[in-house]
Amino acid sequence: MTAVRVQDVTKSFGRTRALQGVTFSAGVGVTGLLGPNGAGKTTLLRMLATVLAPDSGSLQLLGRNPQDADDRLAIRRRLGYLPQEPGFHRGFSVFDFIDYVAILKELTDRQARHQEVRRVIDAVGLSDVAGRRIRALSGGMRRRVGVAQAILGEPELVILDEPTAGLDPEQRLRFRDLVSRIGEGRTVLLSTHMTEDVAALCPRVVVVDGGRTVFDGTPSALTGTADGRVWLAADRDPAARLAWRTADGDVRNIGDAAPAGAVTVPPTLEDAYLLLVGEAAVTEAAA
Amino acid sequence: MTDLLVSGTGAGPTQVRRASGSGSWALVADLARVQAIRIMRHPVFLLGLGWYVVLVGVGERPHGLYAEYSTVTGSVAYLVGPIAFFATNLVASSGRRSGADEWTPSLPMTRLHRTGALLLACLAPAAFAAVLDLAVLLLIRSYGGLDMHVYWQHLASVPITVLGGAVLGVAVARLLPWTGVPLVVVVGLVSFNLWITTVDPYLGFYVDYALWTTPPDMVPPMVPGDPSWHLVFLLALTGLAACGALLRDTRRWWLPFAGGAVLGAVVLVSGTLQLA
Repeated sequence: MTAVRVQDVTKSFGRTRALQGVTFSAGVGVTGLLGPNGAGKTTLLRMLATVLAPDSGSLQLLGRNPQDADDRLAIRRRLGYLPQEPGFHRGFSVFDFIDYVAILKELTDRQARHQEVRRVIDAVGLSDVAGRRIRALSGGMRRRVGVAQAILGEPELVILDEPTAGLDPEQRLRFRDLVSRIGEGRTVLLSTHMTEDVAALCPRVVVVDGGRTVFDGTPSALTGTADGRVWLAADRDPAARLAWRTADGDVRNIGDAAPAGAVTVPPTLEDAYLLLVGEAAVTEAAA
Repeated sequence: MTDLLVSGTGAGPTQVRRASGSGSWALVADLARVQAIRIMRHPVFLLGLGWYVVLVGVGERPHGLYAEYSTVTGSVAYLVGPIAFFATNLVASSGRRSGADEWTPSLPMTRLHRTGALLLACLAPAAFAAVLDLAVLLLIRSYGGLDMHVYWQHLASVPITVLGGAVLGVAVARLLPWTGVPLVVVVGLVSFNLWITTVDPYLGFYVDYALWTTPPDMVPPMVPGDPSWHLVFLLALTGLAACGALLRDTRRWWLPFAGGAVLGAVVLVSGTLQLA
């Protein structure tokens, strides 16, 4: 089932056009949403979380229209959302905060609700600090609190906006494990600008830049767009768009095409992403 | 990798019953309980309470009929009312200040229900004020003071005034959601009160009951007034603030608007009748 259908969606804030015709769809599994800062990812996710309405275009979530009040309520009952910067009531303990969100998620029976709260706290590995106030937690732990509230009540659609931002490597691996579990049997939209997370987790990736969809496909297809465009050399190549010296001492160049005789290397998802976003930026500037 | 990194026990999801239809009013009581605890534990409330204890408990005992009656019928309302206003305002506006309002609209419980829960939670400081006032009454009685009849309407007006202050705090958070506005509102109300009492000392928001009622055992100067109508006046003001709090949270805005109009009329009528 396709849980998310986005068709030609636009959104402006004053004179700033945040989204200029985004189109994509997503079904069961983890779909990565890649894009540079300011690409419009957060605006798009806020729309998918029913917090914002589009100016034009159509949205369909879990088979319903979020513009309709009754449908919107039905969507919200089946939705989990972790915003980029979740504001917490920091005086709450972890348990009390999740329970508070559980009430807002309309989980009625108190005993069952508390059991569910304990389950999600356990799922994100915060059982030991369940009684601790949120203000006393580290940034990584707070992100986990955010994820815990997002997966309360087994939502069918989970939207995660930059869940790994600011986390150390171990915490990021923990998140990957958790997100991959969440994605089993439900639709997860994972917004990030970290290509490693997408490569590790997502069978499908959508790249947004300048408020437009610039790629929609598999990570390997995205990586394939950079075939023959990444090469190693002793120095920076003037033909390269980007180049950096690697730990081995070689300079990794990425550009429109490798010069004749250059030693091309298999591209990574990050190479392809940089080339794609660069192209979109050039096209946008020309337009 | 999974075994190493997963810290949870992998417990299955709980079957949790959700509210049906559009009615999540059943959950409003649960949310009200949470909000009531937040209000009562709020540092502003606790510090204000400490301030009251210092002022009334550590200071000299009130002596004489006037001072004793005034302490019982006025001091709790006078001090707990403002702190209830600020505490509920800060709890009601915490979502805006912390940034939670950016994402909590994605949760199914509507803003109307949430505001309803906050208004219900305002009963907590009011109940607390009632208990505190009774404690003050018993304390004064315990050392043989207050040798006169205390009218129930005067006692009841204490928690209702605190309730009104708390509800006004929610209304200000909902209608005027900008930093510093609650302080401006309080300064404005106090300034208006000071000004109006220069016109007529008995038109202010706070008129000492010890100067008001006309029982034969009351000390002069006495001002005639009807404490029952005064209760109606206070309740109508509280209802008016509640209507204001709900105004922006419902699509049927005309309902709180119409309720507010009716209560406004009650305020005018009872406000006149209480002065006899």
